[in-house]
Amino acid sequence: MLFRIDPTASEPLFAQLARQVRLGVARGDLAVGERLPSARDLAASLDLNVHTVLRAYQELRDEGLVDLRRGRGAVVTAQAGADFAALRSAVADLAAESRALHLSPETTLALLKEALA
Amino acid sequence: MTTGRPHQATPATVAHRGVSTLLGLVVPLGILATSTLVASSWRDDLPAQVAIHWGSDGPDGFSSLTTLLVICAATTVPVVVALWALAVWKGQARPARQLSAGLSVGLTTFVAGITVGTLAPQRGLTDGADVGEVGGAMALALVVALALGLGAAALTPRSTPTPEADEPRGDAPRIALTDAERAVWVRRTSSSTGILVLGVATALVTVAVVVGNSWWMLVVPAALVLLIVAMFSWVVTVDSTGLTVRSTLGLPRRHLPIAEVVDATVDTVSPMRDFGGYGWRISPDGRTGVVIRAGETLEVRSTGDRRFVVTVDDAATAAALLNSLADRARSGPGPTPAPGT
Repeated sequence: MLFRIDPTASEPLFAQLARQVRLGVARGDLAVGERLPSARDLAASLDLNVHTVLRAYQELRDEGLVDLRRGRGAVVTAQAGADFAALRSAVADLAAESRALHLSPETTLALLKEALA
Repeated sequence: MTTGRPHQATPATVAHRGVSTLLGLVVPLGILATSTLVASSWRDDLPAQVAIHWGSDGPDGFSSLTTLLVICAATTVPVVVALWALAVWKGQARPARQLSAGLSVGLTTFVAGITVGTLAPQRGLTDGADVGEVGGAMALALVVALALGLGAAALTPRSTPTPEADEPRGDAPRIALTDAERAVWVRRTSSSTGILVLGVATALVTVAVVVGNSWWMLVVPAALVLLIVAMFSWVVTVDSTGLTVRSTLGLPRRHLPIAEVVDATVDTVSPMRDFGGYGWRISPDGRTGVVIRAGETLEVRSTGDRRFVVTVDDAATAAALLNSLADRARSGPGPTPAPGT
């Protein structure tokens, strides 16, 4: 799993990390029961404060995406693995339909944003 | 499109040949020679046919002292010489030399230990069948052999790290990173089949130990369990310091500094065909690596003509990140790569 952070972006660093974990779970890159790297290791590799990583993990725990366990670290919950298959399938359908109509990605995204608002 | 200069494949001289010969040839053969001499000096005290094999009811195999010593030498000396040759001609990477020294010292210590340990209680006997339980001596020999083998591996000096001046070659995969971005790729890789197979073996040996009442042999399942955990579950990390591969136990651990990375690519391996087995391996062409399943593999070439492989999923992302971080390490932050590169 790739973790990347941009200190110059306006999005806070912990939020960038949390977003990537959510995306990883939705894509299936992170499986149910899989252990995220320890906060200390991730912080060291990304040259971040440990508390930044912990804050991301705590936010994910509050959402029910991970379990924080002593000695085991952050583990992806079964609940997190639910239902993304249907979502992924819907995304694939949307992309296929958009291509068939020769819509640009920007137009498709604009439609999607309206639908999600 | 810029391309790095293609890396010149000049075979690097293998480092530390003297130490490899000392640890991998002189010391192991010295240990073997010592135990042979000691055993020979006991010839007059020993029965004409010494016990060399024990079953559940005591000694059940016998031979002359000479035959025993010849067999010991004939089975270990070729292995030691072969491992020494590997270290001296294909031992660019430290793990290769460590394996050579560790296995040779460990093997000869074990053989020496059980030779001396099983013959000593037979001194003064006229019939080899009268000797008692030797399990304790064998367990001790195993433990000492492990300790000395690990010691020889620890004493193996590092390859002289030479930094790489060039970026990875242009056609190696990359990830587009902006100057400010920092990234890390982490993946756990484990072989459930490997764990299952060794787990079953451990269970069977444990049952045999309990049923056969030879408690000293519990050393074997204990060692197997450690081996399973150490050899079949790993964490692979690619970050700005380079590539780190470590067992979930913490050790063994291999770190390849970013300054020594030549390039990273994706390959496919077959553990049995390419490496002769599973775990931390050396291949006949000098590649070292953590090989725990067939298929997708991250291959990293480093300075000194070393090649290291890890069987891990999503190796493409790992390789791309390592190359991009190596670019960054060589030249410092440059212009942001164009989108799509």
